[in-house]
Formats: sequence, structure tokens, C-alpha cells
Amino acid sequence: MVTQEEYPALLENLGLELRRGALILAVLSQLGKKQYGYSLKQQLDARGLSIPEGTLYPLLRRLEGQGLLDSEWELADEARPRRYYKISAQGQQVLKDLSKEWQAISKALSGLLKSGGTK
Amino acid sequence: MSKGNLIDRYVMEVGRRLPEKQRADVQMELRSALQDALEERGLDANSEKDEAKVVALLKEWGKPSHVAEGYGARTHLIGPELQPIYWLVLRVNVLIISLVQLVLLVIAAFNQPEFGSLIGEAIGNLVNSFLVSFAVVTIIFAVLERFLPELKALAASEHKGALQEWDPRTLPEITPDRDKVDYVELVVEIIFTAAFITVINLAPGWQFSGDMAIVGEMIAKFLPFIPWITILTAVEISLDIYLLTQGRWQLATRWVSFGHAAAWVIVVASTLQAAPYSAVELVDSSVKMIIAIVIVITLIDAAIKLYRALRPGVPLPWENWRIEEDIEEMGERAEQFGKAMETRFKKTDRK
Repeated sequence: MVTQEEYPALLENLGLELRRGALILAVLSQLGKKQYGYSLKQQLDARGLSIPEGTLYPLLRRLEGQGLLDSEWELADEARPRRYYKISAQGQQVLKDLSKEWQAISKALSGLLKSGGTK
Repeated sequence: MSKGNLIDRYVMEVGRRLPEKQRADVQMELRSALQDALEERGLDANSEKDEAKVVALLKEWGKPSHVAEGYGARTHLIGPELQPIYWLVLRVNVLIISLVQLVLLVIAAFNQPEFGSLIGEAIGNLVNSFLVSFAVVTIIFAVLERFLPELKALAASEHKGALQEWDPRTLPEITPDRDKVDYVELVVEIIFTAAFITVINLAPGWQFSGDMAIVGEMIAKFLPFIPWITILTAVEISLDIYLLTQGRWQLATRWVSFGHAAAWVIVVASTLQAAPYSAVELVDSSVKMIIAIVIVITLIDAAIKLYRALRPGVPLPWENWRIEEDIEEMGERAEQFGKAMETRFKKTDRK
């Protein structure tokens, strides 16, 4: 059992776990035009989906490693380099297919949650 | 002296957990991203009045270990969650093995008069048992790490503070923790000291004939010192084992360590009384020179240990340089990168 002080952290961990897969979709959907990490975070925040930066940046890298994103360094101002990410052709394909998957899950889940108590 | 602001420390702490070849790149992106976030909130990482807000920012960003894990830091044979338990098991092992060997040695000493060869044997056994138990424990934990994620989760939730809130103020300063013992160094030291003590105690049995007779004569001069040297090495091994079980230096162990180093100076210096070491002038003077060099080395060692005992937690001058170099190097890398980017962009502009 977790204590009352520990509960918020537990909830946060579970929430993160729940959202992990959805975040991939969210990120891919917003990278039609190139963005750097922080601007992407702001944009997602504004749309009501907040991701801790500590999760977002590694995710971007992982997606790039899987060939779903392209990235390049650019010089923002003075000597501050920024890494810009943009969806790749393969990423677009994945986005399309995963979106279908998401719709199916979402539909099934809302049914499940509604009938939760009944046997 | 600058020990790095919270941002520096955070970037360093994340980078420390990443594989070498992606470290610099990730650190640079992380730093750039953190600067974006600071700017957005109008914060200055170096200003004291902003500290609370910088702390809040880093909390949102997440624990360095989580962030590093996200970047795919999985180079550990034994991951961060299992490590505390792993070390505990190793320490308990070392303690039990040492006790068992000690008891065996005492029993054997009553039954057998040749104590010298007994000690050699016991130390041989001790080293063997250490190595075998180290290997076995490590393999078991490595298997657990790979194949039992459920157990890992359990260990993580049991590990104090795993679910509690993380406080960025507890980020280590960019400075080596001088009170933490270096396990590798200790184990290597124990093995070599044990080997040394064994060889030394076998010395009285060595036979030299013909041209080598002068070596035998020379060694004979040192025989009276062997008991002292044996005691000193025994103290050293005991101290090392104790440190292995404690994991940290304390004031008392610092002073014991200094006393031990000082005793070495005295023992080495007193071997000069045994001169001349050989009828051959050249052999005699070379041995004296070697002893002189060893005295200087032991003196330096004792001085360093005295300094650490008198001023615990204060870095030695060359340790400071290393920290500053680390910070400077990070800055330089970012600068170089900036310049490289600039020239590249100028080129593309011209096209």
C-alpha cells in the first residue's frame, strides 16, 4: 500500500504509463512542419496534452532512431544551437496506421468503461 | 570556486548515465532545451532569487535517472534500482567470507606450527572466495536485471524514496564525492596487498646460490622487518574490508588510514638501519636509493591522508582542477559547435 503522501506520485507514474503510447501519436501529428523540442511542448500544452520535457526529448530521439522523424541542428540566436524535428515519409505512414488503431482502442475502451461494473 | 549551477549539475547528472558516444549530443540538446525553458519563464540559473523556480522547472522535467533511461541508458549490467541491494549482498558476502576464513585460520594455527605458510594459504583462499562470490552474485543480479522486470519494479518501490518527490537541490555538485569509497580500488588493493604479504612471508625460505648469493645476503638484511610489514599489510586489508562494508569514509577511518601511512614511513625509514645491504658498493647504494624513493612516496601518501583527515570534504588542489576542466570542457564543446554551425550557415547563405 502507498501512503497518502506517495499517492500523487503513484498516480503520476500510472498516468505516464497510460499516455506513453498516445504520446507517440500526438508528437507525430504535430511535426508536419519542423519544430524544436520546446516549441513542440508549448504547442501540445496549448492543446491540453502536457508532456514532461524529460519524457518528450528522449521520445523525439527514439522516434528519430526508428526512422519516423528527421532532425537537424540549427543555430537559433548567438551561439545557441537547436535541434529541429520533422516527420519523415515512414513516420507519416505510421501516423496513418496508428491513428486507425487508436480509433479502434478508443471506441472499445469507452464501451468497456461504461459497462465496467456489470458482469 | 564554481561548482556549477543547478542546470549544469542536472545536465552532468543525466549525461553521466548515458553511453559515451551519445553523451555530448544529448547534453547539448538538453542544455539548449533547458535554456529555452528558462528564457520562457524569465529565469536566470545563476541567480539565487530564482533558485526555487529553477528547482520547480527541473522537477517538472523529471529525475535525471528517468530522463537518462528515456534516452536509452541501459548500459548497466545491474541497473540503478537493483544496485543498492546488489552492493548490500556483496558487502555481506565479503564480511561472511572474511569471518569464516579467520575462524579457519585460528583453528589451523592451533594444529600446525608453520604459521607463515598458513597465512599464505588463508589469503589465497580468501582471494579465491572473494572472486568466486563476486562473480556468482554479479551473474545472479545480471540475470535478475534482464529477466525479471517485475522484481525490479518491486525493488524500486521498496527502495526508499522511489515514489517520493524528487528534489533537484539534492543533485550532486559537480565534484567527486570524496567520502564515497572506490570499490574497484579497494578490491584491487586487497588482492595486491594479499599477494604482497604472501610473497614477503615466503622470503625466508628462498635459497640463493652461486652468483645470486648476494641477493640472498641482501634479503637477509630485511628479514627482521617482515613481522612489522606483515602487521601493516594486515591492518591495510582489515581497513579495506571494513570500508567495503561501510561504503563511505568516516573521520575515524581517515585517521586510521593516516596512522597506517605514517607507520609505513617509520618502518621503511628504519630499514635504513640495516645498511650496508651488501659488500658490493653498487648494490648497496642502489638499495639505499630505492629505499629513499619509497620513503618519499610513503611521505606523500601520509601527507595526503593527513590532509583528508584534517579537512574532510575539502578537495585537494588537483581535484579542483579536474572539476573545473570538466565544466570548461562542456562549455567549450557547445561553443565549438556554435561556431561550426555559424560557418555552415554562412556558406549556405552565400549559395
